Parts: sequence; structure tokens; C-alpha cells
Amino acid sequence: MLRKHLFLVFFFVFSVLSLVNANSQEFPTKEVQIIVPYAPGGATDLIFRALAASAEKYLGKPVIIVNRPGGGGAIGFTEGAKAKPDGHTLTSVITPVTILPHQVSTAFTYKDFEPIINVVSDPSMFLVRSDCQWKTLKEFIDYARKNPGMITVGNSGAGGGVHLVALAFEKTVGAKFNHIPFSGGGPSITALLGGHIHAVSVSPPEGISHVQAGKLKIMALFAEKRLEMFPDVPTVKEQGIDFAMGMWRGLAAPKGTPPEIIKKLHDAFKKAMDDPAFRKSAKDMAINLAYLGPLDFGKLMAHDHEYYGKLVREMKK
Amino acid sequence: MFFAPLLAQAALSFGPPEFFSLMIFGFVALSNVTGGSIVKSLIMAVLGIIIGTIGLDPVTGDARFTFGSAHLLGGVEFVAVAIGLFGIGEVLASIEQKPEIFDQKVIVPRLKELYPSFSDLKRAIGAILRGTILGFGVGLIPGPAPVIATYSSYMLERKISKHKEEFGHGAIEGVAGPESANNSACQAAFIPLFALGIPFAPPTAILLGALLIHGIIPGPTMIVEHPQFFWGVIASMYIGNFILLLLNLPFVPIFANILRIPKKLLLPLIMLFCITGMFTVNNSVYDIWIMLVFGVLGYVLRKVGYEGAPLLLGLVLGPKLEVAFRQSLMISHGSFSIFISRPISLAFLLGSLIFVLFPVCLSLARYKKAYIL
Repeated sequence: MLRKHLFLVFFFVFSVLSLVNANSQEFPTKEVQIIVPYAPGGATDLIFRALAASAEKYLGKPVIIVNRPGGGGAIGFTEGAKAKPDGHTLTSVITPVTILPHQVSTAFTYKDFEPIINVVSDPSMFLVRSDCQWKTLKEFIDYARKNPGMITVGNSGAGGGVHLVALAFEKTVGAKFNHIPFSGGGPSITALLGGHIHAVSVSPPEGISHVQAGKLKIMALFAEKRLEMFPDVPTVKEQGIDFAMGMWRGLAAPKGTPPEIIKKLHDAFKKAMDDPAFRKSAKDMAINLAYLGPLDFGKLMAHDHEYYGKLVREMKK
Repeated sequence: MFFAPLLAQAALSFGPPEFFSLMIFGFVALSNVTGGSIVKSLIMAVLGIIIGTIGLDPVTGDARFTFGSAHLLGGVEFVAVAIGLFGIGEVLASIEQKPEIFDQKVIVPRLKELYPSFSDLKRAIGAILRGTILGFGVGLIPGPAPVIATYSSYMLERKISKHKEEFGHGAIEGVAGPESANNSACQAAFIPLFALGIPFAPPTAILLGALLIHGIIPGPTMIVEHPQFFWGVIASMYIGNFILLLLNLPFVPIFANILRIPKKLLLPLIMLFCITGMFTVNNSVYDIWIMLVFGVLGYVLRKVGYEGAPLLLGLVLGPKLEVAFRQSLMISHGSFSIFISRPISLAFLLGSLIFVLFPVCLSLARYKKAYIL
């Protein structure tokens, strides 16, 4: 009888010890998690799923996407910033990481992260159904000016990047939209397809496949230059509205992660970015790859933190 | 499978107001899942909804009831509540039993008893078909489809069963129906993915990632552009299920042998599995504490005669209900007419009303009859 019990005790102690042991070997000792603070199917999710698959080759361990949607990304960012700084839990940081702290009281700012690499920089856009009542951007804006609050514009989360883009755009053109928050770009596009809202504020690759299929069309493109995939869609700048805004998406580790681990991660994800498989899926998704190393990425985050801080303060007035 | 694009279009007609009414219908239809007192069930469902409000406000992004804890920003983990209420709660309740029970001779089933008999099959076939159709419908709608499908099927089977008293004691319909519904809901979740490119559930989201890596973008044009892939998946579903059957049949006796493990060993093992299992979900020790708290709650509820299932339902549906409600009112500029001016939404609300009123009318009629006689 006693032996049986002893066996159970040993079994338990052993299993606890094996957990503790796992941390003291060379990085990476186990799978690397990337926290995506948005629902599956949104742009951030799609991009990092593709990148994760390519990065596995260069890291030698599986790279797993963990979706933590909600609060416009605040839940995922908070969890990412508070994660153990051992390089096994990374966060896909995107523009809102520099916006959210100005809007709500968050437990993080960009300073709680160690930048690793910037992967993507995309323009934002408004999509509408192909059979909507507005033929041109001018008609759309005129209608919005005459009927304030009547055009419903979906976004991927309250206070998120595309929400702010929509807010900044309505301020620029002097209109008023009715902003409806969804938990991620995917659900907002579903609602647009079903005709429950009039437009969505998104950035590629969200909705691209529906634009290709002719179900949706790009009403307003907030870019400096036209999209490679849709060369005949003009930017709003070409149509006389001086407005361009985009979203960047990169990877960061919690503050305090050792520099040698950051370097290892950066090198692996840099190689993954150059991987032909990832290049191809990036092209298929119509996303705009824009590499930045840890130093430049950190500078970009610091700059945008200031910029959006000013914008949010202006808007709250 | 041939109607995929059509069905996906139907799924699109569900906007925020439709979701709201569907959730209301779900609550009314499912809250009494175990067949006990309706008032007690509703109390538990409301408790579940209240627990579901913990975390970041989905519309404004403000923290609610988190008491400054970052762990609670994401809400209370559903799995922790489920394992706590049912797993840990059960273990705690078993500890109280008299020691004789622990030394009781274990039942060793004979091989023949393990496989379903012809009469079992006859009883189960209706449940399987109903569960499959029900699960398919539920799977087309975004949200925690497998959970809802399982519950609804169980409710349905219990409602229409001729052997009501056997439910909760191993009625075969109560297992066959919900399991079929669960499976069917998972398969149906592929339709929105393939036809719209939008994953409604975590498993389809993972598949979406895998597809993108191979340069296949699920969406309206996928079936035409990559027919070999689309039909390959369909075929793999059939083959996969067949192989599952082949693998499982020989193992049935081995699984059944778990019954032979004496309870005094089984209970600590269950406890161990609950704890390690909980940890692996999010690698979070915090979740284990949540689970233990709900384990104690589950034990107390059992003692005072409340059911845990409606609480779980409230926790799953509550947050979705809230988001859909607030989105709808934002779209309609605060007018409640949006819920009754849209046909699908109206139909679900009327259905809920009938569900509530029917038992009331029935008992009223009975009362009248008894009174007159």
C-alpha cells in the first residue's frame, strides 16, 4: 500500500520538476507563442499566421498564434507586456499599441515592449458593398455631410487603429459617421457583406478577396500611392483630399527580454520575411512588406506614440 | 456540401439584431437544460451573465470588475469554470460519500454489453439524425457553435423522449443526439470559411492560416479557383470519420476498463488531470485558481440543489448577447424597433415568447380543468 502512495508522490514531484527544468536550457527551449490581440481572420491574424509558419524553419521550434481579442487590442497587449521576458511569448504589436494608452487607461505603453522587427506597413481604406447607393467618393462624402451619423462604418474594435482612421477622415472632410465596433476585421466585413452596416474601415488583406470577387469595392483609399493589386482605384489624395493613414504591424517581446534572445528572434523572423513562401502569401494577401530592425522599429513606435497622442487629444476637445 | 455558397449567404443575413434575438431564443430554450426548477435555472443563467461581464467592455474598451488585475481583463476563462463546476465539484462531492462505496466491488462490464445493441441503435437513430440537422444549422452561425449545438440537442431529446426519467442516468438518446450535433456543427463551420473566407470558430481559423501559407485564399472564388483542394477536404472528412471508427472499435473495451480503477485512486487522478489540463489551456496558474474557486462553487451548488449548466450557458452567451445588443442600438440610433422590424429577428423573438408562454398556458389550462372538475 505504502509503495503505491510513494509512487504517486514521486510521479507528482517528477512532473513538477520537469516543468521547472525546461527553462534553464538554451533559447528556444519550447514553442514560441505570438499573441495576436485580435480575432482570428483579421489582418493581423492572417499576416502573423503566415509568418509564423515560415519562422518555424529558422527558429527550430513551433511558432504558435494565440488570439486574445477584445478591448480594441488592450487585452492582448496587456498580456503580452506582462508575459515572462524569456522570448517564448511575443506580441504582434500594431499601430493601436501607440494609440490605446491615450484613449483609455491601459496597463501598458509601447515602452513596455522590446521591439524585434516591423513586418508590414499598409494603407487603410473604406470598403462598401458593390451595390451600394454611392457611385463615387464625392457622392459618399456629400451624403455623409448632409446626413450626419446616418452612414454606419464598422471598425475592428473601439479605439483601434482603423477606428481612429475613420475618425480622422470624418474630421478632415467635415462629415459625421456612426461608428460600430466589432471584435476584429473579420466580423465587421461579415456584417458589411450581409448589409447590416454601410461601410467598413479596414486595411489589407481584410476584404481583399471580396473586392476581387466583386462583392465589395474600395470607396476610399487612404494611401500615398495606388495599390499594386488594384491599379485603377485612385487614392483620396488624387481626388483632392489631403489624407493618408496606415497601419504598421510588427513583433515585440516583453520589456526586459535579454538582447541576445531579441537578436536571435530578429534574425529568425527576418529570414522568415525573406522566405519565398511568406513572400508569396504576402503578395496573395496584397499586404505591403516593410522591414525595420529593432532600433528603427523602436523609433517608429516612439514617433507614433507622440503623433497619435496629439491626434487623440485634439479629437477629445 | 453542394449548397455551400447558398448556405453561407444565409449565414450573412445574421447581423447584430438577429444575433441578439437568436441569443435571447437560445437563453429561453436552453436555460432549463437539466429539467429542474425553472426559477433556479434562470438564477444560475443570470449569475453566468454577470460573471461574463468581467473584463474589458467590448464597445468602449473600459475595464469592468477586474479590480485592477490584468488577469481578469480577458474575462473569466470558460474552460476553468466548466472544469471547476463539473470536474472539481464532482470530486469534492464524491469525497463525502461513505468509505464503503470506495471499497465497493467495481463493475466489470462484459464485452458484449459494450457495443450498442440493435434496440439501442433503434432508439439512437432518431436522436442522431435530429442532432445532425440541428448542429448543422447552429454551426453556420458565428460563435461557440459546438457548445450551443450540444446543449440544444440535449434539450430537444429530453423534451421529446419517451424515456424522460432515464435522462441523466445514461439514456442513449442523451448521448447520441448531442454528440452528433457537436460533430455536425464543427463540419458546418467550414462553410462560412470556404465560401466567405471568414472563420467562425478557432479550429477553422487555424485551417485558414494553413491555407494562406499554401497560397489559397478562402473566399467567394475559392471553389472555382482551387477545386482540387475543396473536394480534397470534403473527401478527407469522409475518410477521416471512417478511420476514426476503425480505430475506436477495438479500443472500446480498453476505455471501459477505466471503470475498474478503484475510486480512491481515480479521484486524485481526476484532480491531477483537471489541474494539469487547466494549465495547458493558457499556461496560466491564475486559471487553476479560478478553476478551484469554481470547484468549490460547484460543490456548494450541488449541495443546495442548483445546476451548473445554465451558469455555463450564461457565461458563453452573455457577452455575445451584450455586444449584439449594443451594436444593434448603435446602428438604429437607440431605437428598439430594430429588433422587431427585421423578419429573422422578429421570428426568434416570437419563438422565445412562445417558449415562455406555452408552459404557462398549459399549466393554466390544467389548473382551470382541475378547478372546474
